[in-house]
Amino acid sequence: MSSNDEIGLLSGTFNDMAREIKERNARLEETAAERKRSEEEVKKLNEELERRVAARTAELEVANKELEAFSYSVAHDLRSPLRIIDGFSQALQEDLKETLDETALDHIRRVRSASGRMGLLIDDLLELARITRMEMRQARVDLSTMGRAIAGELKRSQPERDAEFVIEDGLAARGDVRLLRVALENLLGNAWKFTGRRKGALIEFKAAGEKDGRVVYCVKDNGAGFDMRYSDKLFGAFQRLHSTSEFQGTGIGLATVARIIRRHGGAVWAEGAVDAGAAFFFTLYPDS
Amino acid sequence: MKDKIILLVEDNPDDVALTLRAFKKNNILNEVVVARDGACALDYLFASGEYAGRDASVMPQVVLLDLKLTKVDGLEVLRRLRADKRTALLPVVILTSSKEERDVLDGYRLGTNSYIRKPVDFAQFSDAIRQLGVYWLVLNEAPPKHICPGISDR
Repeated sequence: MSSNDEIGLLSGTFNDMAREIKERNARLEETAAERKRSEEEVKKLNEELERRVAARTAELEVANKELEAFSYSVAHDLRSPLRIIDGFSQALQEDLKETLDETALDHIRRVRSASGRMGLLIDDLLELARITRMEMRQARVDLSTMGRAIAGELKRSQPERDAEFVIEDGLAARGDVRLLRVALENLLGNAWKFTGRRKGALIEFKAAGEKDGRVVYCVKDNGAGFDMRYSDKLFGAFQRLHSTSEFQGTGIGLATVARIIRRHGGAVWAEGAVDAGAAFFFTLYPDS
Repeated sequence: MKDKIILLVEDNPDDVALTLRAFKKNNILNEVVVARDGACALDYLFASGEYAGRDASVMPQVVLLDLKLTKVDGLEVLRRLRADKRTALLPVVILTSSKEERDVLDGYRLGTNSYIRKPVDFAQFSDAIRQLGVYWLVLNEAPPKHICPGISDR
């Protein structure tokens, strides 16, 4: 091959290479530009997301503030006239004792009883509202010790009762200690109340398996129980399955428990039978 | 004991009536001065406005203070009377419907001596008034009337 041909071949090859390098560069630049476009898109999406989160948080704060103002109003403004109703009913009873017959006195008794009940309902509603808006602080919560403390308080409140608590050791969960205490007080308090007429009352608090990565806890009693046909009403606010003459209460306890457990991301449900006891289940993340 | 005055700061006339009734039922016969709003309460304490000319050296034994008042609200009344040398040590009992934590906290922060939530049930309210009477009018020692000017400077 002549030297000119060799140079021609080489320069052709170099040109090919140069062309290829140019094309590859162009493709690299395109890829880089594409990557940059994607990054910018991701950045924009993130900013949009943050904007939405901020908006939602602001909405939530407004809603919380409104709830607080509402509760405050309820606390003060609703209880005030109730006090007046009760006070002057009693005044009526006392000042006009001579002129009032048994029927009149009965009417007055009912007025006073109803205003007293309304006072209790208001207090319970306020408690529920307070629990709904309270900021949660996550920590390890020793449920066994908490359960035993509550059991002790209940037994001291009525030492004459023939009732026993069996609380499993080592129950611990992740959650807000104040809220979980309210929940456990309600559950154990209910068990205590609805075994009020049972001799040899037995109340158990234990772990009962797992569900969705959470531990299932159970508060079980051998008391009055409830009709399973109405079990879906149990956790509604002010829903009761027993009359006030059988067992006193406003019906907000279980609604409060449900609110608390749901705030912890868990679930609540119950099983029972009339006169054959009840078992209340709730799930929480374990913390051992 | 009879010359000890109770200053009742309460804007609701029905509440005033019930409180006075509770005093009477429990044989608390002391003079009760009723201030129907915050401004009126301050006028009484500082012998100004409608109470100008009152003998300002005569202070109530205890102030029963409702929180929700018209014109000047209860906490503001408390703030002002704690800020003034003449009334800084005056025993104050907040007597109100509210049990809201914020109110209890603010009350104590501003220097109330006691915080009582009025029960809905009148019998319970009457009993609370009875206990209030025994405690603040009989048991409790009021701050001395003649205070040396230097001592109450904080």
